Amino acid sequence: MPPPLPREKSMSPRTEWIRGIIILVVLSLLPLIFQNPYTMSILILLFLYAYFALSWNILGGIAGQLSLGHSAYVGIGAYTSTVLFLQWGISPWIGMIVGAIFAAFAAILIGFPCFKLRGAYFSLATLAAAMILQIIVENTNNLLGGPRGLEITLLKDAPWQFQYTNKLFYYVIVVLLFFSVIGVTRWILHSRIGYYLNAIKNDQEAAQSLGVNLTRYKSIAAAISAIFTAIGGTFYAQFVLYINPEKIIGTNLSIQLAVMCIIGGRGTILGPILGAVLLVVSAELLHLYMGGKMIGLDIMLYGIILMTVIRFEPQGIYVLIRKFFNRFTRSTSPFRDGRSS
Amino acid sequence: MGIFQFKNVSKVFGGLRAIDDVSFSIDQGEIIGLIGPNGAGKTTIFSLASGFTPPTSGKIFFKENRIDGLASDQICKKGLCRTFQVVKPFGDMNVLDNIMVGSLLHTANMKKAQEEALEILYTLGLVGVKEQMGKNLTIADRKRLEIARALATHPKMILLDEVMAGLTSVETREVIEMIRQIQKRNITILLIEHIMQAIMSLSDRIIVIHHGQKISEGNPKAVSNDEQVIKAYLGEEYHELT
Amino acid sequence: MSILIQSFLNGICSGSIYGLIALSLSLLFGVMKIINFAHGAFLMMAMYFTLWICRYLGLHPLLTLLIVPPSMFAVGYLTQRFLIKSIYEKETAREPIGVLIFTTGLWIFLDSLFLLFAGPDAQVIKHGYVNQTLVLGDFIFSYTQIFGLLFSVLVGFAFFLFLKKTKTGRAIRATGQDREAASVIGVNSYRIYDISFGIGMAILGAAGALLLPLYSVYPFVGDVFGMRAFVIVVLGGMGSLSGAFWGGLIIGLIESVGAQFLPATFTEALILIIFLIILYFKPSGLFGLESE
Repeated sequence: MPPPLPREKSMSPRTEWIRGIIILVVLSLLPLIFQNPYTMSILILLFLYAYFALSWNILGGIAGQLSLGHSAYVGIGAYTSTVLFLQWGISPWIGMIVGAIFAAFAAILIGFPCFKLRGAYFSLATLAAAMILQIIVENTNNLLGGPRGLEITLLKDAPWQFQYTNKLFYYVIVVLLFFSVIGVTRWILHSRIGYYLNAIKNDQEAAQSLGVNLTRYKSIAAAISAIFTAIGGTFYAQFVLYINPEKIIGTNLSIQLAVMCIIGGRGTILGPILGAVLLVVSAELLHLYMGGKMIGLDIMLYGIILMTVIRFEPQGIYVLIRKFFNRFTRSTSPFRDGRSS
Repeated sequence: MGIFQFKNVSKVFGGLRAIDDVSFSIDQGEIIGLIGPNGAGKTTIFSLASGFTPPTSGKIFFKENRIDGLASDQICKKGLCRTFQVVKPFGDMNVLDNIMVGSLLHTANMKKAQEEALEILYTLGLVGVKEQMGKNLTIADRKRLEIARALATHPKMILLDEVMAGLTSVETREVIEMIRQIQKRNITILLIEHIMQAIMSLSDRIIVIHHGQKISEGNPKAVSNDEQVIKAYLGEEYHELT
Repeated sequence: MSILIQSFLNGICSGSIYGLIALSLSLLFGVMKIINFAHGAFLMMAMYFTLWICRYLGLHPLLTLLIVPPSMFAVGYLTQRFLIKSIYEKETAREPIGVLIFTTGLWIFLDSLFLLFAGPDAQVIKHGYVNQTLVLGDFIFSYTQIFGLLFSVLVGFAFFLFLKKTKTGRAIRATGQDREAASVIGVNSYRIYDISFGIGMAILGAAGALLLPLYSVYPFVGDVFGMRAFVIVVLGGMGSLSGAFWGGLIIGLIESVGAQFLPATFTEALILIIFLIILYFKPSGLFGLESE
């Protein structure tokens, strides 16, 4: 097996299997412990946000392209499945796939002019693209519901229409999604695509001089990222049964998606998960203690955390934690220099 | 025509004629030295040759095909690869992974790419730093890595941009040997260098650039005796070294 | 026809203020090469300062021009000195996005801070001045528009004079062009950065004070103007200060004249689309000094 890209130690296949099984067991037991619907919802949101962070990570972390317009893909996923369902009664499962395909196309379309841009310009362009989409949706009242959004008809128990009363249904699905994005991420990291994307992130001129077609590979990363993000959008729509442009395509969501991953540690697998957990948990805690009294306090917290993390450990919390644990082992460098354990 | 040719190439940067009607051709297997005072346009020639910037006029040929206007990744795929004067290692990847990025050009199989990368690693004496991160390397190792990566793409011709700058005399001698080994693999080499002794002893032919123009071309001895060249640049420097 | 001319003139007035906003952003980018995503939030801050000064001190809105810019200068100077500098220093040349991400954090922090303190509702200045108008033939101009235009041009002009004639101004230009060369002749780059950020914020302060009578303020008002500032800077050319001002006028015109033909939100989308087109075809902008 080729040595892993820096940042995460790899393990022997057997250790990985054991670890995987333990995690699976724990995950299956969790819903039994947290049976009340409120905590179930939190759990589902936790996995969903971790899933979103990992999806963004493919473009923003591995390829290093800071997209600040990813909510556009959430929107494309959510609105496609919802409109297909409301207008033509098509099952959101199919709508989900259609939405994912649209999102992939959109990613490539947006990418084509935007990937030629340097760092910050690229981010601005993606921001602008998402804003444009939001404006279009807000102004399309008949089909897309305008600023008020769309409500999805409550069907109670209809698994083939992506709805169920028992939240366990959603839990299983989101956990599956979570593992699928992890699986794809790991596959990317160990394949040629991953090496090329990492090279692009490090120094795209050098990568190009070694034969890497920048636009093509960035587009691949963008498309994969968009597909997963859009699927998450459909899931969200079916879980909450209500979508509107502000929540689903808004700038706030775009920034959240990027920030979770950045705070946690771009490019790794554990990093985005940490970032998502941190943000969801702190938001919920604030909500519990402050009630609805202080709106905006959770966002303010994101801002403070983001600034603090960037100031002291730009690579993210994951690196901070690893450095901390490495103090107890004998190595002096923050990473074991890419050595397989 | 030879493996590489510049035909009346000019490059204008916003009013400044960086390269002015330069023509030359290189035969397969040669080592050609490109010299000239700082700012003469040597690195611009590399940028033009490798597709980083298109010529304002003129034609560039590689293996008898026109390559001017092509992007640098396309040119690399055709077998022409360059190194950078200010080295660009992939800082957050280890040395082996760095080289693998080069190997992956002609094979999608990760195992094969790794094997090839390891081979180049050994040949260029980078075994000791195999697992080190690009950003933690010494300058000598970075230069070596730069060459190793380029070689990994299996080029037919390689452009080396001041690979000896900043090295000790021991390291310089190692690089000279490395370049001779590269020539043995039948790879054509065009190199920019300021270390006169090295470039004169390595090169089959020398091309001298001054103010964006070619002012001399020929074997090292002839060039070093060329009035024009001496006047422009060599002056005391070479005589000091001989 | 006269409606068209009216909207044209309206566009010039608002465009001049946009020009100021973009000017300050361009200054930051030109000198320090940093992209400040918190720009809109600082504008929002300036607008709230103006609002509160008018409301609690009872001053005439134009007099706030004496207080807000200096306060914003202090805000900018301190922000750069204590917050941004340390990140800037850590930046590797490879991918200087640390400041970008940091200012993003600052942006969302400031937005929600003001949401907390000022509440989500849009607020306006209550002062007679706001309603005074001047009628010239077929055209109506509010005093706020006229003075907005007047003072924007004045501030812009003063700034250009400052850059050209004063020692500090020349130091700033030198640092922007070639930091190392400037330091060789004794210019302390970091001090210049602190001052530049301060001046940038001061200009933004003036823009905010002039903008408030024309627009209402709410915590997220900065998002729109911030984005617009970026559009303008790209349109006018990154690194070109005069380009930023002209770009502002153009955008003001598009917004104003466009509103005659399209619903308001679509002019917003139009501006963003133009932004993307420029980024694609001519990233160096109309007056751009940087070649791609």
